[in-house]
Amino acid sequence: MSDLTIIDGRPAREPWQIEVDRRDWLRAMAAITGAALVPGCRQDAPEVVLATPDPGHTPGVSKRYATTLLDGGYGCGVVVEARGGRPIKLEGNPRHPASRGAADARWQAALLDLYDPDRAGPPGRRPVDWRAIGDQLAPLVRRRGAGLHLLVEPTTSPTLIHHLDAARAALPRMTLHVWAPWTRAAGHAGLEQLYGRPLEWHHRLDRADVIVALDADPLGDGPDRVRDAHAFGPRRRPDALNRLYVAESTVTLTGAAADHRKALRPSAVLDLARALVRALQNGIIPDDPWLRAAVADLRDQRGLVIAGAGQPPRVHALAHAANALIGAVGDAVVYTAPIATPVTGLDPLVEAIDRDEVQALVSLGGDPVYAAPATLGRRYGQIPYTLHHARLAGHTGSRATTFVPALHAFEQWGDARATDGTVSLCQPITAPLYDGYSAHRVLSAVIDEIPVDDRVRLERRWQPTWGDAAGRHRALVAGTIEGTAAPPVETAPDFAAIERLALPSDAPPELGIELVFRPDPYLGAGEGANNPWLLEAPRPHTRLSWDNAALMSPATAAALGVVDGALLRIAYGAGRIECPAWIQPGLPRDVVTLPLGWGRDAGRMARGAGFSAYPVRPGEAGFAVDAQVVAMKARAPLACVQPQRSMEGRDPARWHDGTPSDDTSHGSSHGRSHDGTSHHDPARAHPTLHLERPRTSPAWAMVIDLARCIGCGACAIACQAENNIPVVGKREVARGRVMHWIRVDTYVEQRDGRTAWIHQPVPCMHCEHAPCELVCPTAATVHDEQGLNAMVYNRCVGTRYCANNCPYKVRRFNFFDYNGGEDAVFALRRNPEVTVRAEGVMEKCTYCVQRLRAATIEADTKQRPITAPQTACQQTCPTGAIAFGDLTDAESPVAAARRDPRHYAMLGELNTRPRTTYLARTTNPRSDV
Amino acid sequence: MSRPASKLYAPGLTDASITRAITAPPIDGLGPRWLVLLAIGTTGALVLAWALVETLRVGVGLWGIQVPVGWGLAIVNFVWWIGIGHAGTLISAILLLMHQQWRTSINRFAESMTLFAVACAGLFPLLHMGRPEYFYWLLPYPSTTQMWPQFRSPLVWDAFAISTYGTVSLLFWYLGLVPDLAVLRDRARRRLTRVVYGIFALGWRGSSRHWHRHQQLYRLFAGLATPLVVSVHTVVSFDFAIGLIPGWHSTIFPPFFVAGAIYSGFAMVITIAIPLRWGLGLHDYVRPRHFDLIAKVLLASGWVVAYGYATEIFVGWYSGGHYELWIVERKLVGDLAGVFWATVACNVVLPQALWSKRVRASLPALFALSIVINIGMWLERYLIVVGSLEGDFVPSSWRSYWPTIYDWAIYLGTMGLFILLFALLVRFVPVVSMAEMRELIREPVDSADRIEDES
Repeated sequence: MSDLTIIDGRPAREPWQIEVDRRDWLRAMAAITGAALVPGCRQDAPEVVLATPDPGHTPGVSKRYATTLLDGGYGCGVVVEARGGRPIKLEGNPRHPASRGAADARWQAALLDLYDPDRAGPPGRRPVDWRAIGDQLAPLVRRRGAGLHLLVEPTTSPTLIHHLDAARAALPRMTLHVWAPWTRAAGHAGLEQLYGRPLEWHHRLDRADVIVALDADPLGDGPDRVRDAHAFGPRRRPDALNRLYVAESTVTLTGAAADHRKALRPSAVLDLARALVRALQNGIIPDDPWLRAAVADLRDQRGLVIAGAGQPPRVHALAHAANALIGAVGDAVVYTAPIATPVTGLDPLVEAIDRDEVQALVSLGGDPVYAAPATLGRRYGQIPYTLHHARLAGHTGSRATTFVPALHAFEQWGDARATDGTVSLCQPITAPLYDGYSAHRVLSAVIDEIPVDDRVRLERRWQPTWGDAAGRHRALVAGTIEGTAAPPVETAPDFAAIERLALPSDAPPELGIELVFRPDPYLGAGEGANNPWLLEAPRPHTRLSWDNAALMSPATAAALGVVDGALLRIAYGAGRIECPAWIQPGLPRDVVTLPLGWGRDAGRMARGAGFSAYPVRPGEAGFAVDAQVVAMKARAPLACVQPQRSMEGRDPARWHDGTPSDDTSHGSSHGRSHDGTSHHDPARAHPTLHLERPRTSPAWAMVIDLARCIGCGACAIACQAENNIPVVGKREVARGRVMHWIRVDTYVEQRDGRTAWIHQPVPCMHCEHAPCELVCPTAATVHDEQGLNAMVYNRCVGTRYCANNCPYKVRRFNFFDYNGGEDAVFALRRNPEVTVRAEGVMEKCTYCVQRLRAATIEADTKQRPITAPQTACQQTCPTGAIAFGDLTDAESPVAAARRDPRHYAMLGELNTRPRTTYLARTTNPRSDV
Repeated sequence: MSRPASKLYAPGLTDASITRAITAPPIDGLGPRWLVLLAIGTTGALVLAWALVETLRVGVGLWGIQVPVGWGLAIVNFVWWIGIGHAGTLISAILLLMHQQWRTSINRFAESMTLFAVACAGLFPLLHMGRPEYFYWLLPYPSTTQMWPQFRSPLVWDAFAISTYGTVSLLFWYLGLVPDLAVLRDRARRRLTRVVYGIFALGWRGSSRHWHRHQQLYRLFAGLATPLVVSVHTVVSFDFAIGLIPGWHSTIFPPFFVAGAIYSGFAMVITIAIPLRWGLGLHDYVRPRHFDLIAKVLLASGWVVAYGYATEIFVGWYSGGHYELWIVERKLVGDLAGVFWATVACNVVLPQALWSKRVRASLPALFALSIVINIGMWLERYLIVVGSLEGDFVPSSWRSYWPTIYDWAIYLGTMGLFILLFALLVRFVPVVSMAEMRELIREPVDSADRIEDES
């Protein structure tokens, strides 16, 4: 349950003031010393290979390593920047298909998981005693695994799968269960229904001119979300516009980006999918205007139909059938041989426990007691011996007989496949910061074999593929192994079967309230539950921070008689939860969305944050029909970063209706008359009495394309990591003191009678005529010769006049010593290039001045023109919405973007001459809808 | 020769009776009423000290300020106190130069009010800084870093204006006090008292040379203080008018702020004069005629303030600008309507009762109205400082402001400090200028102040 203390009361401890006890501190210091020695002196992993040429041991120069994060068992290639042995930042690996150089908020925040002091396990945990584990399991091993159950999360790691197979061979009577609370299993099952054999799939969104999403969120959910967003972004350029149809039961990133969005109950998606397939197969013209338009477009153009992970396999089968009917297979969607361990579910395990057959349960990863409270969770205590291996103990680890802490991906050797089969490698970039072990080590202990070094195991597995040492080196540099992408599989759909699948049902429509379960955009299904960056990041559409809430449309809220923050009691089956409500326009009537991943007892950060929706979730279902929802009298305080969600007739974020050189994309549609700014340089459209700032090269500028921005918030977390931005905690967020230097404003508007969202990332505008500079009494904010509005922290006395006078409200103030009380281990992740700001000092976006200075110095020493570096937000943006560079260079992307007819300056009429400007959002609706 | 009776003092006052009455509290002390006042003031000052220490120890984050409302109650209170500080100097300097006799008996405590109000006001700009230890960076001094303040910032002008005003007010007050301190020195019964008053009396012997120079200097200071009355609140208004926030960016602010300052200052003079007159028995010196005149000043300055409100609304509408219209709408019918209409009621509607001679003659009514105006002026400043910041240009950043207990503690604490300083004043310093009273009873009575024979 969420924290019910009054917002104004002072809790004893803020997240940024977590007590560091002596033990933690010693551990942190040990970590510093240990980590500092890594690159040169580590004995156990001397083979770590840099992704970039070795800068040698030059102090102050970062080293970059390619490695892999795991997301739902699939690999996400990243490049980690380490300074003095400490990983301080990560970026997407341009050579990895799931990333293409981009990353999202969750990957960015994985850095902080590495330093999480709660990884050390519950207080008082003793070091892992392998002999005791062996003694416990020995009787079962002697019986060739009878009574021994192994529960793993789906994995694509070839070495881990090989090891699991070996374990099953060694202990044939051991039972292996594969389960996770949120997987691609429904998609696999759907494909199997359609084609009769297991298949893996991935999308190529860039190839689809028409995308139809059936309760699917390709841009925000699943291991391919960055890949899909990366392919989707460029297709929102006016000259290459795709069209996105989304029918969904909640509000997702994909839905908010849609050209045609339809809100419907989750249980109605199946009928919609059937109608879609019937229309495609038989040419029946559907009644529903959304569906009619979608079908017409799918017939005429290259299309793609996607089903959501929360929908049953049938919907996936129908979506894949539709792809077969429109010829998308092999084009926008590719099928390959399966690469992940098939999900078996929890039912066999639960039944075995009920039959008293489970003598020991070894679980690798996840937190099944938390995520399956009604089934496994309730029975976990009945199992005589339980061993849990995970990065954070959580509900499972704290109840298990033995908890073995896992290593972070940056601390171990490993491998994983992307959805297209490409193998990428994990390298230990740092020595383990805490006591921790790999899954291989645990498996070896379970089956009582002599542990093999993980690196040796990995090399044995891939030696045949990469060949000689040069091939191995190439793979480690690139992070991926060449030629491991799986070849497409030919499929032949059975059209008669499709027809049967698509037969209309005569089941009566469900009544009552339907619950929709979705992984939280940042916490996932619970993986990020103890990550303060992710906890504090405002959710893309609710703008809530530090809490989840039961989301419902204004109409549903009115029917239930609830307001924002009102407590609800939700019951489904035997499960009951209490949770606060939050009104979310755009949801269908009588649908309540419950974000998963919260309320997990994962550590000190997670404590009191949000509620767990798992108790009312039936199994792994994406939704539940006919739930009881009752409003209670009490209210819970929620921390919302953006209380005002409509633009109130203003146009900070603008729409473009598609006609070139169109001046009506702003202003006139809102009845405004005085801002007829020229599109050519809206930032300099008005005369001024101030001296013009000279624009000498480089004159840094940024253009953000609202058509590409999907509002995922990756930029905010990348910026937080790059610029040492502190986390302030729920109470401070509720008081309007969040520190993010780039915020993603989200406005909900009614456009042509439909709910429409527009996301607008807002960093500092670096105004040429900056209102903040004029009013600072101590000259603490001044302009530099490259056009930056710079902050001189040392000079700031904290009058906050600049923040008041900033029309964009991008300035952030250190109301308390937010950095001072920070956990000593967390502090290790700080970027040494960026000043850590003191209490009482103003701060704001600097355009990553440290990167600009580095580029300037490099250009100076090498006597060559400066090449524009990337800002952290730009670098990570999955859709490439942010252009940055030198305004005076006519060839630069930023100069080109400023010539775009969609170009405008936010509040340009104030004549602040902003260097950060925007491209208005394009939409591509069908004209006949 | 029989002099016509004056409305400005009781008949039959002589040099001796004035001296006896006015020197009584400093020489003989005060009774239990004073102890009550002292206790209230001390309690308030302790509350202030607590909130102040906590704020300095933990940080301004204890207050309700945030983004977008970076200035909260502290700056509201600052403007409010500075405004109150205006009446004293206006009474002592401008009315002196204009030969207004009615200033004589009230100028001492009005000037003291100014000093104490400026002292209270001065706390806020220091305290509200994130790093108050570097407050002196706002002043031009030869630093080793060769950094000057950023002179385009109104906050730098503020630092000049307020420190100048505070200094001139203190010197002016002290200068007027010197002859009276000499009287106290001469009448003191105990050695210590005599020595202390003697030190502060600067060797005043009352020679005609002393008087000559004193008068010259006093009038010179009056001349110096006069422009400050106008300039200080003009500069304070620049803090807002220079900004581009709708509700701040307004050219009418300088005169509007000055009128508001006079308005609130005179209201505060009434708030203080009535209990003081009662507590110290100053009925012979502070006459109904004084209250009548102050009430008329209130009425006049109140109309300037009302004109300011009307102009703000009109210009907001006339500009046709979205953002200006928006703030007008918020004030008239939106989220600020409650505060706005309360301000109008306190500052415009209720004070119209002052047209009535009966109200001007009724001390309870005047006292109540003076409190109402003080509240109204505080609300007006809240509207400007907080109301404008709560909703400026970009809707995503709009957020309501809620003061915390520390904000209120500091505000109430400065009132406590103000009361404490006044308690000390009435105990140790003559609250009516004896020298000027002696002069006044010798001067011809103004026709307006003459009490006509009843026959």
